[in-house]
Amino acid sequence: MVDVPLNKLVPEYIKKFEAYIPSRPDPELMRLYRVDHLWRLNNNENPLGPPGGSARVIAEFPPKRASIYPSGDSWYLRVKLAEKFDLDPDQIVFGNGANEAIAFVIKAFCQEGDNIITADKTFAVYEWVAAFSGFEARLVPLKDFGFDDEGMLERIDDRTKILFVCNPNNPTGTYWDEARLRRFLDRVAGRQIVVVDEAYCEFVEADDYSDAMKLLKEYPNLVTFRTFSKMYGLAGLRIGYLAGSRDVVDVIRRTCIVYSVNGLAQEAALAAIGDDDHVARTRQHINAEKAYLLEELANLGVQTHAGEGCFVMVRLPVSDTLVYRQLMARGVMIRTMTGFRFPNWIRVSIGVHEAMEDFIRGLGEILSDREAAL
Amino acid sequence: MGHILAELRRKRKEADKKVMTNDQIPMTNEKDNDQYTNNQLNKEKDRMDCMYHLWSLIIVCISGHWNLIIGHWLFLFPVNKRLQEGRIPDINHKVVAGKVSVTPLGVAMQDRKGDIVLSVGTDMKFLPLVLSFTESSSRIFGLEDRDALKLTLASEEMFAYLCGMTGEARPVTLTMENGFYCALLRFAFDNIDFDPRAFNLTASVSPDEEGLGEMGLLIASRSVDRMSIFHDPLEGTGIYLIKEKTYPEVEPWKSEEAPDCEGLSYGPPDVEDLKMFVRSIAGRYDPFVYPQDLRYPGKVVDMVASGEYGVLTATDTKGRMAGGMTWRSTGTSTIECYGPYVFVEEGRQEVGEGLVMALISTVARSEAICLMNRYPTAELPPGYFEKLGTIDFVLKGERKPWDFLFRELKEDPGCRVYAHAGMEDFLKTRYKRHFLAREIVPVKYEGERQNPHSVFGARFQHSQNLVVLSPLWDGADARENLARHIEVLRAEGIANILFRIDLGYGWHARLYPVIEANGFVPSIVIPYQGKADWLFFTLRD
Repeated sequence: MVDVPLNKLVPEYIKKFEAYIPSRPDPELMRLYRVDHLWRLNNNENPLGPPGGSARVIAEFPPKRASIYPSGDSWYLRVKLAEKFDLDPDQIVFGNGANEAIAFVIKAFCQEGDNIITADKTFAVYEWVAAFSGFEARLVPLKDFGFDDEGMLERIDDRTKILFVCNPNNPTGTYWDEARLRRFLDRVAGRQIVVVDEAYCEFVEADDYSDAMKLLKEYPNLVTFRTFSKMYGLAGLRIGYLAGSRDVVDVIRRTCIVYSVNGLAQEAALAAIGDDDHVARTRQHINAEKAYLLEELANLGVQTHAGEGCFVMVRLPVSDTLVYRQLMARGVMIRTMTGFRFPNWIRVSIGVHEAMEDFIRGLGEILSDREAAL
Repeated sequence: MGHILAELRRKRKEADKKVMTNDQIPMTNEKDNDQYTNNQLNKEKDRMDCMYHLWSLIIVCISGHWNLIIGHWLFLFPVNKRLQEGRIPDINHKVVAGKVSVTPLGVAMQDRKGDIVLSVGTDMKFLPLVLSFTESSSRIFGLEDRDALKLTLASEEMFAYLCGMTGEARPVTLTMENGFYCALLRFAFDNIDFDPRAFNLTASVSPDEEGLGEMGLLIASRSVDRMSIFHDPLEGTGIYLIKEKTYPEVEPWKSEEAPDCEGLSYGPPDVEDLKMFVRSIAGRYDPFVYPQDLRYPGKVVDMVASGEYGVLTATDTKGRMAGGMTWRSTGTSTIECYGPYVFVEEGRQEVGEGLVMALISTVARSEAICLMNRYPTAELPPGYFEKLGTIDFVLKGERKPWDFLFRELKEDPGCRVYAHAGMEDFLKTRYKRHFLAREIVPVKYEGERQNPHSVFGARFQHSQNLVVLSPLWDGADARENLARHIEVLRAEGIANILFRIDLGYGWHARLYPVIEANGFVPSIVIPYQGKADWLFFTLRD
């Protein structure tokens, strides 16, 4: 067999990277941890699944259609969303999940020596994509669990190209109201691209929440991200999008990978748009289970933080990564928050009631065992 | 002749003793693939070289191989003399930053992002060029004359050895890398078989032709501070020779100022604050709780500049330092941290917790899976680290517990480990206790062909009178070789001897009968320290 001379073929900067290794598939994890079930409370997935219309599309998808290329730029989806948000279809770009949209934007505007600004304790992908692409990610500490607008503005310099705001923030659930977002955009004054990631916007019921989609006409440097992975329960199909002014989106489109969204995902998403009943039922479920969870966690005597969104943060008296393993051994998978720079915190997604009960029972046992050991 | 050889061995042991008992031998950098024994900053090195030349002369007297030794000295003496006098000219090349220059000899040399590269064939006619390259480039990277000469000597021996290994010229690439606190000379040589037996701590020169061939390796290994072997698809195969700069030792310092512990900010210090941080640690803490690199402020500055160490300090609004922590990567999956070191009298625990949280936040999104702490201080807050176990070790005649603390930075992905049947129960118990998901794959030796000679690495930690042995090269003589290592270390008064294997390598696990037969018992498993978990063995009393 021929030896591939990788030391000569691989660029130096690639040699320095370590491949990101996602967690193993559930059956593998269950085998490793020797459990017969696994509650997934780690990825903020919708416990109710996709809306009825989407579920039907998935169930009835003709296998023969799998041999046909999908629309390369999600044409019907863009037309329908444009109608819903009163935009031009060319103001919308779809990606294989919102993560791909993050890469499109960074690739479109940054070059060597440029920087992006975001928070230190937020969704990691803005920082990762920038760093892996060789751009500086300037991280501004959260203030009272929320994005610090003044702090972000202070870090802007001539090489700043993009400011990323996660609204509501994952994992803290804090949000900027419309007045605050407008003030921020006014101060930026169009000099940089402002990305507002609204992956969890459909979970927010507060009246003063800022809907970036409504501000696109006023602020041509504003770009917003949305996803079908959270509220619409299509995480497994990987579909998300961004919207902005025509000029800005025209630039972003140059970096897009066409045909990256598969046909089933496009059709399922199309069926989900406008299903307000699904949104209402999901909100109702999340609110009820979140209330249950917070009450039970208070009984366990642990600190919590819950804002908008389908998740709750819990502060533990022990290492979050240890508790992850201990809960895994009980068939419950949560998200550790060391990676979010909240060491010894975990984030628990709101799931079905049985999962919430198992989580509370498991965490209670772990904390009692620890106290007994002390 | 027997008594002459015995005398040789005795002198050799005396000389080695100087090497091994030097307190400046640091914990070597575990980032390197494998570590050979080293003689870090040995004040007796000049004497060592004289000893080797004396021994080689005596050996030649005994064996009659005058041709080898005369050739060796005839070449080396004038070269060394001219090197010492700084009179060796650039022979066929020039160092031109960012350029490639091709010489009439057909060798290419280039500056690649700061590295200096020389490609030649394994032909002794290139030896002067190799010497000139090493000497010039190591000076460029800041080695002083004495250290540059040592590295040049090592490169000469290494190159001569490789030439001797190959019948026809094979390509070898020398790369001089700037480690800031050291110069790293890399020999990359694919497709050359070599027997690295001489890198064993216990290696000695035998008076036969084979032994003389390996004398060069021995001299090379003892002329530098560290040697490591690498072999992987990305890097190819080869040897690193590492020579560190010499730095003045720390002057301990204790500030009279009392920083305000309210509203501390955490971040990397500037150069002078970094030196102050190192001096403050020496002024307030026992050497037992900080790594030996921290005895040299200048070295720490250079190591931070090289990216090998990270440091963050806690300062008040007036810039007064309340404490700090340091860390370094000890492998792709692991970061080892030291401290927290706190320099205030009031609120020590709060400062300690603030430092630990700041450190974890700093490294949380790195590629590392684990954060180790083998030097915890009293200010390390509870709840942030897990205790993997304790090893009792002897220091100045007293038993002291040594806690192994760790935490994971990521959700444990689970992994596969190799285990010999003899250690499987131990592993299962430990993995269950720490909720670590592991797939155990059984291995054993089944009569397959083996290399004749094994190599074990020895990592010295003199502040703890400790040596950690590890397998570097599999070989049929492993059992006897390990026994010799223990014998030598015992004779040198090393009270604490550990053996460690990487459970990600089947051949490490297969060594269990060898390890067990030499009196070791499994003690602690440390997750993700190498290719997979590390298993430490301690010697039975």
